[in-house]
Amino acid sequence: MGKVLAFLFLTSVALSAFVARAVADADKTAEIARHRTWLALHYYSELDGGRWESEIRDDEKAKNFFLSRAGREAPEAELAAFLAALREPAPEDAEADVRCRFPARFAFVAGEFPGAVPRAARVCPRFEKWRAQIDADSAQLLFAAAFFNSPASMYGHTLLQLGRKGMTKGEALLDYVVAFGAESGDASGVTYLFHGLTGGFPGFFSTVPFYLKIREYNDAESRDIWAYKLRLAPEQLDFLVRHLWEVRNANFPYYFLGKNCSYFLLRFLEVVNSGPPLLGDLPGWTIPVDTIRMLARRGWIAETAHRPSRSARMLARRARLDGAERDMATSLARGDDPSAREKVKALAVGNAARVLDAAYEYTRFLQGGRPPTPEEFARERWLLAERAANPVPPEPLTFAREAPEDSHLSNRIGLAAGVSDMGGDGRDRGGFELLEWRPALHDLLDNPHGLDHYGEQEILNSKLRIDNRRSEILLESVDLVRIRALHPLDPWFLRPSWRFRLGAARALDVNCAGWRCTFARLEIGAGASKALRHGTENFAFGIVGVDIHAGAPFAPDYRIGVGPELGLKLHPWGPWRILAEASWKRYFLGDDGWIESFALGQSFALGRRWELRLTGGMYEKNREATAGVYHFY
Amino acid sequence: MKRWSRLLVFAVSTLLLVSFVTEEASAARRRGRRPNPAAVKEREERAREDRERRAREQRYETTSSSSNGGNVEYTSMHNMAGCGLGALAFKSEDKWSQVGASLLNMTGLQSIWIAFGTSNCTYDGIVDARREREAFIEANYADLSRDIALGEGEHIAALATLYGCGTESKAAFTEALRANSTAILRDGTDPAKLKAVADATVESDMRLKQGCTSS
Repeated sequence: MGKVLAFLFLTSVALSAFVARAVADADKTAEIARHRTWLALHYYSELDGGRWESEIRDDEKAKNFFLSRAGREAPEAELAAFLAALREPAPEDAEADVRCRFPARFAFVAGEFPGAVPRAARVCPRFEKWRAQIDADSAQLLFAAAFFNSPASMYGHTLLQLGRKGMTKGEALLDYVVAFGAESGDASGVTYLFHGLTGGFPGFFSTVPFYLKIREYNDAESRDIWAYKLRLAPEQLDFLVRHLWEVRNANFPYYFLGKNCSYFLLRFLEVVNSGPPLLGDLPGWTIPVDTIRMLARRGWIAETAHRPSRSARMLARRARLDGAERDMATSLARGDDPSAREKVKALAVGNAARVLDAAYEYTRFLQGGRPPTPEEFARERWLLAERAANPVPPEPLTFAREAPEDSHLSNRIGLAAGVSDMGGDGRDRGGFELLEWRPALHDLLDNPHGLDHYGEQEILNSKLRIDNRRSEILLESVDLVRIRALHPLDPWFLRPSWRFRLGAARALDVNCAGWRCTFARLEIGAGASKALRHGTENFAFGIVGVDIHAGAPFAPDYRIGVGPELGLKLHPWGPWRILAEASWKRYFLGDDGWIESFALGQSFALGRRWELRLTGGMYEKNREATAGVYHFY
Repeated sequence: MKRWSRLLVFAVSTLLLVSFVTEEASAARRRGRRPNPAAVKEREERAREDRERRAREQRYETTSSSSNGGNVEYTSMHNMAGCGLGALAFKSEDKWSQVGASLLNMTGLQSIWIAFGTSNCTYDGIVDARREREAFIEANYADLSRDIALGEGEHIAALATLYGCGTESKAAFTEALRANSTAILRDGTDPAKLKAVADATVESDMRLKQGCTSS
């Protein structure tokens, strides 16, 4: 009897230990599956009800990324499948072994769950060869600044540069760059644009050598590149590189406003984040420069470097030339004056060197991102041959650095008080307030430090009017998109100015009341701009615009008009800016008529977060003036 | 006055319509049918074969007119075809594609990613270590020419690094190539020739032979 009892006792002890351990294991599995690193590695997002779903697109490639069929929606299932795969006999082919397919996951699980990992790490030839070539020992966040005037470069982009160590340390050109973008395959034209905006193309991480990205951004697109060195420990960097190997075959959704390159770069960095979640601070949309500001606030950024675009270098070299030399450089690059070659040879050796350097940069600039034509190449070769014979080294260039993260903050709210005189005869006079909200980005009267000085770009700029006299709240205007690119004409930079506006507004010149005055508008136009003094913010512009308005206020429901708009932007001193505009439109189709309007705005920038603004305007006979305050946040 | 204005609007809208239609027509020609992964792959294969064929033809011209040592001719004749990174266009001509490309952070039709991915000098998104010099020379030929002419620059320094030159030898490497610059710049765009000259220079210059590695 005693023996039976003892046997039963021992068995139950062993059994309960076994059960306890199984329970503990299950707990531990659940805990690991909820670990922020495991979640970050699979791009899980928390949904309502405590469920998790990965942002990775559910397509063919997801089957390679997730080991479990339910993996996309269940972190525990994915972890269980991973642990099960680790317990199976190791496949012969290293590339089929999960330790080699998912080196970051393996490193994480082996660290957190050493008991569950049946054997040590495996030698993974393909991964090791790849890792040795990437050879990362530092990481820099790159920001390719926006250049408003060209449609290809209207928006800033962020990428991650992995600095190579060893022999190539310090040669940034040879570093690899991690970029997140979408591939469009064979699509082009408007469908390309449409699919791009509506998530029709999958996004993914890819690596290219930095020298190719420089040619794309610096050369083809006139973008300056800013590099922000990240404070990462060697283990963190190693973990990022392992994760890059895992993730480079997965597809993600790509939505331009919300889930863009900056958003996914932050999710990529999240795998090594031990502080508050990187995406926590951001609103529903992601503006690239905001991600840099956020990382700087969190202490991720150590130093900043600036790589000016080819057009910036070209203009800096041209600034050293006098008038005659400038003409020589122009002719040498364009090939339109054969005598220029003789003239250059007659110059003093130092002057000739400067002319040749400027002409060379201009030649490459004219080619943009494409291979040169035979004539262009012949001119380029002549310039280089002449330059090779000239012993004077090229002059070092200096640039005014306006760091993009020093620009005013992206969101803006405003409150203004105003008086209006509808009809201009004093009978319909009253006060009103304007409430404004604009999530992005910048208009001509905002302080353009760190941004394009000759353009404005606004998304969802919304204005609400509180009319005191009639005690009603009206929609003043909502602009889904408003862009004006007004880069001044320059002999070496012949870019036309253009504008685009899509939104809704309140009709002022029509007999209507309240919200029934709302109409939709699409306004496009092209023209030219001229700098009043080179290197300042002062310029004048003229645009011929086509307005298409549609809505209830008009009889019969629409009007189409065309006409000129003139503007003058002045920056007299420090924080004070002035913008004067005049516009005449002749509406022919639909509700025809002739409308002229004038506006004068003045702004006073107070640091990066505040701005005072005074405006006055006349729209047909209606006049109004406002004084207000903007807050950037 | 009214008829004038109506004519103007008609002209403007016709212009817009025509430009839109021609853009779409040329885009449709380029597209064919809806994007088909197999068709894209086939197109890439054919593009790669074209590049290889052109590179082989170029090499044949080079070696028949080159006056470098026999060793160099022999080696370059037996090199694999070039990396296909020489004639990349970084911007699509189609304006809609340009806007789209800026939104998608890709370069439109001729994306670097496709060219880079289908090059026979790359794999898994990186450059094969044995082909790094070739790939770099092809992709940066214009900037290398400029740096060689001036005797300085980031690109020539990077190339010197790819040739294994230590810090002291980099200046010598640049200087040796600058001395050869007339020969380099004289003929057409030929990355293979530049590589051959660089190889020969490192091989023949005593300082460089010690400070760098020619293969």
